[in-house]
Amino acid sequence: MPTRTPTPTIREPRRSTRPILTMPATLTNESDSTPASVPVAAPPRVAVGAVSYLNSKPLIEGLDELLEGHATLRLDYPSRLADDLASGALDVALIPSIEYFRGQNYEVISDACVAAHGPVLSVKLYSRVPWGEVRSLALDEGSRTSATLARILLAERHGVFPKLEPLPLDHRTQDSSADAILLIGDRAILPPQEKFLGTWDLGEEWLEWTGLPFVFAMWVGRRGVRSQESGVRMEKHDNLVEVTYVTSSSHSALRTPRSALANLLSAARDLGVARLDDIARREAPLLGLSLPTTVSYLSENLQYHLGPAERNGLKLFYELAAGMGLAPNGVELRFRQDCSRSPHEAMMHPNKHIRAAIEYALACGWRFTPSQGHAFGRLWCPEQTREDCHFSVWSTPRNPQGHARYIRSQVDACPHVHTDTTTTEES
Amino acid sequence: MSYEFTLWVRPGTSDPDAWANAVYEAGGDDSLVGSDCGQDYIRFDREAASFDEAVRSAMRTVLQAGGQVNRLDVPEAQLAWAAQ
Repeated sequence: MPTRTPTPTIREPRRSTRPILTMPATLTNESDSTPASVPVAAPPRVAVGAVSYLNSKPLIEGLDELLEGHATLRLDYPSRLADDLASGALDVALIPSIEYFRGQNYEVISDACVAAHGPVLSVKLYSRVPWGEVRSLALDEGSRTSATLARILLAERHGVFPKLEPLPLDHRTQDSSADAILLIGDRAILPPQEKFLGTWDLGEEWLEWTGLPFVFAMWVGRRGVRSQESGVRMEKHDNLVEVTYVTSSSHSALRTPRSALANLLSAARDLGVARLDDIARREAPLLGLSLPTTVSYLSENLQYHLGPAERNGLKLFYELAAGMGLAPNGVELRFRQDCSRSPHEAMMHPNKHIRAAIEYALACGWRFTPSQGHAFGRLWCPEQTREDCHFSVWSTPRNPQGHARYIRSQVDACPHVHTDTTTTEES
Repeated sequence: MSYEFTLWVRPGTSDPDAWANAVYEAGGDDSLVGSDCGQDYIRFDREAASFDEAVRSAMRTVLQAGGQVNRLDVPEAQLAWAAQ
């Protein structure tokens, strides 16, 4: 509260924090000065993992730079990422959709994803027999999500449950005698070497059948586990400002590092989408694909925003997979509330001081909605009830620096702790 | 001289964006218009010849925007001015 109370509010037991520095309040710029100006020990970083396939390049383009100081990024195979996320070796990972349902206590933490609203180009099912007569299915190694999708479509559309066999990466389609063959990646993008009776682009088939987009991969974290989350907090006591390095045992009062991470992941996506042509020019020769095909694949076949339609597609995919016994029953599909909004629009404020203050609010788990008229937009705290906190941000305040200072101090004064802001989709 | 204080108010409209625009048009471009735990406030940073004049001017802004003032909060740093 700006002026209603002269004493600071302590939002958690003090015994759980470790003071590392105290300094006279008079040495700070103001009573609500930000932690960024104070020299403190570096907190442990969040461990982030991602696949590095062509379809996920737009999500990780520049992510290393954006995460610098906040998290470490490791690129790996999907199966290893899923295992490490489950074991706790990773805090957040870009994993194939099916892995979410096979894990435990997960939540989707970002609105960045890899999805298709129609033909996806890189996931194809070829058949040598009529679809209703498929008795054996060879699966390209490496994609359990696409394999599950293929089995669902064959079962739901043609009532067939083929016997499965692997198609190793170094095997050609001619090396398999299966009735149908699932190919993913550049093998699926390139024209097949043999003639097939039928071809399904699974993104296209899914859209035609369900009317929904299909989500192939998304950023996932373990819910309620914040062992790597940490931060710095300042409290004013009498004439001293206590700077506290908050560790995992005292995470409840943190300014939601996961929200900050979600914003960074969205920002990385925005950056990657803006650089699709550059990514295509770099990756096309490495994969033996033509530049026009690669550009078209990244910019037209794939989508990178997890919105309501994608959520519904994901939910239906889970229900069908669980119904066929391809995913465990009873899995909750959870999304962080703040993962449905991109910070991009919020960061368009013309004044750099106010931009920085808005960024601070977003990093603290606040949401931004644009406004019309004199207000540039509105910032909302994570409470999301009638008792929440929110305020307008002017487009052209009389004193931009003062306005920015007010924004920061109102965010700091908000009493709503927001480490568990998730929504649950009924599954 | 600039004076900082908060007026707790009853907005003239239930639409928060319409209320904020009304405050701005009434001269409140030196304020932050918001709600704290459901309680509406306007935090001012107002230039005036005296603290008293700053508060009176801010109250006129609120009234002109169609709202009502319920309470004034003054930060510690401004108490010396407020007492004069």
